[in-house]
Amino acid sequence: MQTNINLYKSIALSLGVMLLGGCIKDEETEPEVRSGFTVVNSFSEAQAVQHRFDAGRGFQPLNQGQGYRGIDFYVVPSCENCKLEIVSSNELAQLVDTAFALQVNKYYTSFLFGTEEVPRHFITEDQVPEGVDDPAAIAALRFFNLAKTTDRVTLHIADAEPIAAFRDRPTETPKTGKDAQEFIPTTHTGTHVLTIRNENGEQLARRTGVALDPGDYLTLFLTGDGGEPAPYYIGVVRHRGIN
Amino acid sequence: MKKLSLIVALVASVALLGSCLRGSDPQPERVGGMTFVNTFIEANGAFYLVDRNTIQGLYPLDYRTYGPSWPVYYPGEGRRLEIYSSYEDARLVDTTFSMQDSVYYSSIVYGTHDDPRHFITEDRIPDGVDDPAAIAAVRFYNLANTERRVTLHIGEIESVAAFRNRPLETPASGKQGEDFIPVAIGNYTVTVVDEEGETVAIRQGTVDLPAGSYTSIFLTGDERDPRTFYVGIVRQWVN
Repeated sequence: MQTNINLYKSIALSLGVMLLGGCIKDEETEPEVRSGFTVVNSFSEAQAVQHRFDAGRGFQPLNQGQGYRGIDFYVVPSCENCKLEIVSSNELAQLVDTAFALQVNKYYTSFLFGTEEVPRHFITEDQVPEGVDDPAAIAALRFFNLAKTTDRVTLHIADAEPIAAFRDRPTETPKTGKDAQEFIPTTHTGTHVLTIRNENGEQLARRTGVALDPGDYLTLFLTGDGGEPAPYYIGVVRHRGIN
Repeated sequence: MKKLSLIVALVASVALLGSCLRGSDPQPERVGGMTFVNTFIEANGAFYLVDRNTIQGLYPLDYRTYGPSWPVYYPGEGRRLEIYSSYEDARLVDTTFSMQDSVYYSSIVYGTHDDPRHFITEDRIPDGVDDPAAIAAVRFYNLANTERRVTLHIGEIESVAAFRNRPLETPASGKQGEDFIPVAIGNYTVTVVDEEGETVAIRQGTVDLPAGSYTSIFLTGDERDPRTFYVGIVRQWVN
């Protein structure tokens, strides 16, 4: 009889372990509900701006304030109807109030530029160029003119012939920026000196030592107004991820 | 009977397992490695990556310093070395190197953002030296952004040819000048003068060159501000 009781006990124990074991959910994958969101501040008229993001739970600050020429990366909840508000440190003026969709596991970049009178903003989808089999094997670039200038500017990479899309660009509008969101593949990898010239060939800005290796996706942009405290400057966004 | 077999088992296991002890085997000696010297004046510091990994203490390595205190050992071929400036993350160096066992190396970065320069030396005991611990030896580099040709004076010693009228090094001239040249042991005032005989920089205090010391002496600084000229001293590991 004693043996039987022991047997029942061990059966009960193993049964319990087996059944409860099914409740352990460590192995299950987490749902992925994130998007990558880079924010670039090329708005020179304020010391800083603050990005406030609403993924359906009300506006929440992404940062405590981002300085001029700042580039930050955030992982944010994906949402169909995301809202973004950007306020200036000058009297908390609202510069941007926009709505857009962020898809799961995709990467986007927000560019802020312009003036207090006409603040400008656009959001790019950061995609691998079409027809590329191995995104890690190539390098690709795109270029925006976000400066306060009437010049049309051209980006020169070392001594190479400028890429057509990087030639004679006037200051972007939200539309021209969005239209130029494609990264353009290049085989010209290495360490480069970048210069930006206007249509008279005058050099506005220069930057040395820009590393461009296979797998690098960069946004290059001109910012500033050519005076003080915002001289022309070439900004480089190294994208953490692309779709 | 049982007791006896236990004793036999004990003795047998001690005897057999004893052969596993390797206390008297010679241990491989880990020698060799690279010292990184930062004489790149246009930035506060430089960030070093080998095969895209950071090196402790060299992230960043300040201008006019060297490290790590124990040379890092990266055996093998085709190692990628990248050096980035603390200014705008400009890449100064992107090169590959190979490291042999039992050899010490130095990586020296200098120049400007427009013209960053770098070379890697092999730091060896001079040929024909019987007792490396009995001599002192020196090598000299001009790593300053200047067009002047400079000469190293170690106390009153007659300056050897390799220390005379050196223009700003190129990577090739730096590599060629990697040999340490024996000098008399002593305690010296070290100065660097230009071809006119004008003093460019004096090392504060005196420099001790005791027996068994292998020393790189270099001029760093920039002509645009003559106060930046400085005589750097690095005591090197050699083999």
